Amino acid sequence: MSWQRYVDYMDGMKEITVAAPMVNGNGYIEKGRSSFPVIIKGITLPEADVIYKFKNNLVTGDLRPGGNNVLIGVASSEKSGLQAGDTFYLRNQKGSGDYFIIQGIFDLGSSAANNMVVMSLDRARTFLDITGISAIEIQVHDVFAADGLAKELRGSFSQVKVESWQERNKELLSGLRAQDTSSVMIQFFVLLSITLGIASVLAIIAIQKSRQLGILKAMGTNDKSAARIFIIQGFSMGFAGALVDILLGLGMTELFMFGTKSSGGPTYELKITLANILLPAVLAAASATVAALVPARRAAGLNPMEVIRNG
Amino acid sequence: MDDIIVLNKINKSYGDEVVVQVLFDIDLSIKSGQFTAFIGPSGSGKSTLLNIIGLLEAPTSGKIILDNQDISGLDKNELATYRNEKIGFIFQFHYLLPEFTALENILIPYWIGKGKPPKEVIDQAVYLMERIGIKQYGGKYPNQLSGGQQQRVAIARSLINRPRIIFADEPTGNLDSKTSGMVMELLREIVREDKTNLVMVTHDRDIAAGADRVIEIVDGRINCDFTVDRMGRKEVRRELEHLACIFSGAAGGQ
Repeated sequence: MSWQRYVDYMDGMKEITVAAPMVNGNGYIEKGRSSFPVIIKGITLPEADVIYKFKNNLVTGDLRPGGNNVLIGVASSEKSGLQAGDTFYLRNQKGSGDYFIIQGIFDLGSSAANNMVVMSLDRARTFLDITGISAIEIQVHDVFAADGLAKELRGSFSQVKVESWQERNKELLSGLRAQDTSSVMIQFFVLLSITLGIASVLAIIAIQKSRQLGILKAMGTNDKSAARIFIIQGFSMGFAGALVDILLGLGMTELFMFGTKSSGGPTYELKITLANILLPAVLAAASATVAALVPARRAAGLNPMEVIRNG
Repeated sequence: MDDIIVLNKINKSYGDEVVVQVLFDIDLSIKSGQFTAFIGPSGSGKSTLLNIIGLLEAPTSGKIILDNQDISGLDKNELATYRNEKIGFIFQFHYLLPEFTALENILIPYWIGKGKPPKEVIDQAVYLMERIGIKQYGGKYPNQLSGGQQQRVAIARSLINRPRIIFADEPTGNLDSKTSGMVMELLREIVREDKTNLVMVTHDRDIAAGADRVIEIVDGRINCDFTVDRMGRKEVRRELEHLACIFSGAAGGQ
């Protein structure tokens, strides 16, 4: 069965956004006496662009790979010093090579992806001497349905290897899961210790200030107002702490991104959403307020006579 | 003249397992516009009685009528509101809040009851400070003031809500005799001019001798009750001289 029929079949499936045939290989950009390893990728632009979004991430040049016109990643461009419009010699792993012209330079936000030389599917097949194609990359509507879909496809096509992103990144995924679990655990215990910390600080304040509280109560402060002082104080501490933490967190994220940056842009793409900031802030303020309940109860129950009688 | 304070069979006991009774069936009425002094040896129960009339402590049994209102039915928060609106307290220790200036301390009772004070109330506080000679210290913090100045701030604080009754427990107990004399003079003047009521616990014979009425409490009961109107100040002073032994005790206690 020709690969085109696989693509046609999958194009007809409603779970699939796009099925893009690819030719993959390795090669070297040769410049003077240096050579720079690159990943060679042959694509059909309309399909591949849905997955890789070359159009949106083009830094310079045009998006028309075809013939010996290619796109290269920003990392390859920086390493080799090649610019859009330059002609360069690309060698495949078998040792033969050809001259190609850089049509455009893209930045996909990851150093591996930015190390690609992208050409048309047909040109890649001849250049890498591949009959057929290397893979069909599929994008699905629901990322977490990929496993189920892979199983279904495996049932339909016995002659090809079907791999979901979860299977392909099994170790990474279990690593991420472990990281996620430990991160939740750490967050939980940090939150717990902070809550206890704030509770104990406020409890000590409640004891230290019991004299003042007692006299305020003698002068007519009711139990509710006395308790409210601590609730407000707890909330303010939590809120101020959250603000400082947001700034520190953003600062440290920047530092991390700066520290792990490799040539050709950041190694990771880190998206900080408003929810990432607001949720911990709200949690911090809420837990501090909850922590304040203990001293607030104490303040409410304080008898002014205890203070007045004992000086 | 109406009675500002009426006590009916007031008893007070402490403890659950070992019960100690400190006040026994106190019946007392105090006329409006008077300066009343409670005297008695340490542990006689005079401070407890003051705290009960001042609604800081509940009696074990008995009825309290302040300013023609029966207080017995009020709950904790209603009592707090009543104290805020109708009662001024001056304690042996000034209990000023160290985080606030003298002026702010004076305004605290208003702030507790009604929130942010308007200009008239601030003006009233400034007037009170002027009247008791501490106007220049309004912006100072309690730790920047002398003992006498701190106590005068506490007096101004007790007056800011124009209370019907001022309760003072050894207000001069921590002051030297000169400052003590000045503070007392001030209190007497305020009672006279503002037609308010002052009820004070004291160990000081001279201070007691300046009161309109002196009530001696011994072992939780009223032992003697002298009224200047009835006996004349000279006679009251003579009686107090006679009771000289009770003034030798240390300040404080119940």
